[in-house]
Amino acid sequence: MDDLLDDFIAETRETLEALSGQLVQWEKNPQDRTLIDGVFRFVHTVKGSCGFLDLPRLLRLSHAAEDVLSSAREGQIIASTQLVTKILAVVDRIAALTDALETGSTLFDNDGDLIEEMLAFLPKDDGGISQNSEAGGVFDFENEHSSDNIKSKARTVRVSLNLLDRLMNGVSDMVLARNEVSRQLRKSQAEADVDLAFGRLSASVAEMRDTVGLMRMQNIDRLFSSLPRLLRDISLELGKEVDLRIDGSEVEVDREMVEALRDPLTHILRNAVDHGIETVVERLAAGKHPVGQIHIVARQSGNQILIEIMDNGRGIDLEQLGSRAVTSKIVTAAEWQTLTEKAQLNTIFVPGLSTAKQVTAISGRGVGMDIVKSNLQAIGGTVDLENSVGQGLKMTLRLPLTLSIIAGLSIKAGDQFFGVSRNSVVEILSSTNKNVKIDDLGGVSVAHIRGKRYPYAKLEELLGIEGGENPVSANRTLIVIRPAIGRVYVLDVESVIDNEELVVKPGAPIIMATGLYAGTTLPDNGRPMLLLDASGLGEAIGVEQEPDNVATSADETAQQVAKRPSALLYIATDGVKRAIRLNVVDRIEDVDVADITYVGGKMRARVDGKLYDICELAILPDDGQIKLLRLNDGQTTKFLAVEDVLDIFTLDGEIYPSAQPEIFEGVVMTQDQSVELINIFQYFELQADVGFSPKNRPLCFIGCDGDAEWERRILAPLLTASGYVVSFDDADRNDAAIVLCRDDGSEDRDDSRILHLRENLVPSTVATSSIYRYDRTGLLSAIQSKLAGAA
Amino acid sequence: MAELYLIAYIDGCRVAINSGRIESIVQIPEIIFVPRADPSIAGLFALRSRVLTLIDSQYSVTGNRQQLAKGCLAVVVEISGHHYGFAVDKVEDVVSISDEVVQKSINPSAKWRPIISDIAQVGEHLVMILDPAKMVQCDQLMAA
Repeated sequence: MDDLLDDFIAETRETLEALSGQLVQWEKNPQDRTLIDGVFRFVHTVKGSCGFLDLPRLLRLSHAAEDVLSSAREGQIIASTQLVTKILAVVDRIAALTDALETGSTLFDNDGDLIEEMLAFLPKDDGGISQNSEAGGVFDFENEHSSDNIKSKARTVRVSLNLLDRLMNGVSDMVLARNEVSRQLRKSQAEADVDLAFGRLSASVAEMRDTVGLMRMQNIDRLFSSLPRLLRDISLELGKEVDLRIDGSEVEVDREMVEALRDPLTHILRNAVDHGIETVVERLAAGKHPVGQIHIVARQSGNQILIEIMDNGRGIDLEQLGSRAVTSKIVTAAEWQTLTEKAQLNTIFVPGLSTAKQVTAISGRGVGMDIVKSNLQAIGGTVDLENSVGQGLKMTLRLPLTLSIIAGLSIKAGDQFFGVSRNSVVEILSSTNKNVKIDDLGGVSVAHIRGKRYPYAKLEELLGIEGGENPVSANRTLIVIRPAIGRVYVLDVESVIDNEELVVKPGAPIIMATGLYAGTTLPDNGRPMLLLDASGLGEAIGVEQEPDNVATSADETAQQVAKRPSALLYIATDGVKRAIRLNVVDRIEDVDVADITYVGGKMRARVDGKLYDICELAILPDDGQIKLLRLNDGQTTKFLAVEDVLDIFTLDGEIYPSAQPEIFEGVVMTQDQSVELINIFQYFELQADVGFSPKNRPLCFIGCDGDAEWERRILAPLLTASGYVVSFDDADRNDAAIVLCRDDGSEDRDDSRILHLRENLVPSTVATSSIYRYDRTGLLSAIQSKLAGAA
Repeated sequence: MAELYLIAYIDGCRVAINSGRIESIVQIPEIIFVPRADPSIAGLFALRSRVLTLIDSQYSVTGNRQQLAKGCLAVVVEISGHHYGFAVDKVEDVVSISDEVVQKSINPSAKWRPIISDIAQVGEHLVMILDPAKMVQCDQLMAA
């Protein structure tokens, strides 16, 4: 009997969630028979089981609900909001009673009121209540019950979580044992037969581990199925009309994730309806569809689950948010101005802030979004906002695929190994890196990395273990860590060992009480490892626990102001170390020699179907690749050939003047060497055409009679190469900026655009302004001065 | 109603631990030290695929840490979902102790009191009944 009861409870609870969703849909589509049939069938099953298990209260409730639903099925009553509300109230009571049944607690019995309220919707002439319930009580439930169960679809077995966990542990044991056997086999150099058999065993163990991992996965629909009901309740209370669309219900997530997400999603949805979606009047005034839209999409992307919640409401009014934040003393008005838009948006996650105009029962008390963020952080997730004022808000939740496996780094400190989540690691540097300086300020240390300052601590000192002060291994590793809560800091460890997937298990409370650890893990070598808690360590270092969003963004702005220019150290093609300002370097590209040709007097590289100049490349090797720095001055792109790229350093020292300022901007010190800092202007000033974009090239009309062999063969290419557009078409004459003609200049003397070209070196007496036609420099400067005069 | 108790030695003293809570008695493999944790924690050790917390039982009594090394004995107990190993000097026997032999009139000494639930008569000797859960309660340790 107990087993039956347990089954009943589990089964009822499972269907209840789906049921409320169906009821809400039915409310929208009262004509849909399949929906009401589904609801009816469920209530009927509950009724049958209740009679069988002798649960009088549940029987009464389900029977009454069945009555109402059956007359709805026969079309005697139509689904209305009030009716569905009452039915939902009964369904809720059934859920509450089921819970009470399991825990053995009792629930106040006012079922009668609920039932009467619901039955009031029945047509008056439809028999008495008492009569109906009598009839239902002795219903031939056995028959009905079994017939209902036939239509089960996927075959499933209910397994207790406890059993599942034991299974998982068992499989993990097998994996460890397999690793051990594999080690032994390697040692003993077993025969090929044994190796083969072991390989098969090993593969099946691996497969089994994956399968067991899948058993923990669950359809996210379990989480989403309760949302339509929730949304209905909220929108009814607030008198707003909202349509909910859910996509991606088939995405699978870790069983525990479903539970961890329930609260945040509820909060987000409440906020979206309460703050985001406008009232019908406001929506109409804004020219929107009167019914608000909320769209929830779940999808898997790599080893992350993305859940996007989009509404087409009013979005977040940043100005209003700002004044709220200032009145709530979260930021000062001056600070608010310095924040980036993203940082401003993120203040909605700060505890104690709400954008609601007034406190409602649903939201506006300043709790909610901070809970969303902290709940998500607890499971290693993040939340992003995309705000378009007047158009709505899009929230993107990013979650790890499973709660129990994280990408981690194993690090060594002293003689111990620790794990740290890779999500929080920003950068890993060597302590011998010249860009790193560490200042000891009487116990508190600060690390400078490329001009930025971070709190700094040695992990050994932080944990009080031996080895921290041992200078034997001078080459240590610095890890820049951005914790979920708190500021970025630098952790100094002996070395980073490996990058691996870690199965995280919670540590005993007595260990977690230290606040330094996020859990324990057992790597394949079978030695337990402690997982460091990035936020807890930050706290131990003494990093201020300011709300991270405000702190980091204010920090960033400050750093941007103080940011010093950086330079790239490289070995030039002549083998000399030189430096170039980093801000002109787009990126480093390796280009095949086959794509480089010496044409038009220059080395040119063909990249993405375009030709670019290459500077400083004299000799082209037969094959292989050439390392090129892609330089960009904002308009033009050129490549600079280099032998190799060495390092990036900040130009915080003095720049000593150079003897050839046109080639070298100066001399700077880096890594105790003096290197020449390339004057980047030389590469861009080399060619005159860089100033002209194709659109505004001046048009030159060449007027000529006859075949004009010289004009076409000699003059036109010269002008084109100098950045002019050449035309021989008479139609273009009026638009041309310059008109060139090879005659004595008798006609059009008053046209200021005309430039006469003469045949002889010596100017003839007649022409006033004419240029010898082979005087290239003279011709070009004459054109330029004409253009300047015209402008 | 009589229950079975394991007789073990902690700091040279005979104690009884309810066998219903004991999962196994193991020889500890390598111990991983937990820095900055409560001194009663001797470290972590792996038991099959699980990571267990090793409690230095002697510290809980005397306040002096014990040198625990690979191979020493631990009683494995599950307390609210977490598995702990309690280091013991040696284990002796499993005896049945019924409620009648619990001696209400005898109080354990001050240093044992926080972790002892009762004192019972076993055969001709008196033995203290240890409550392992009391050894891993954070608040108690914080207060101590």
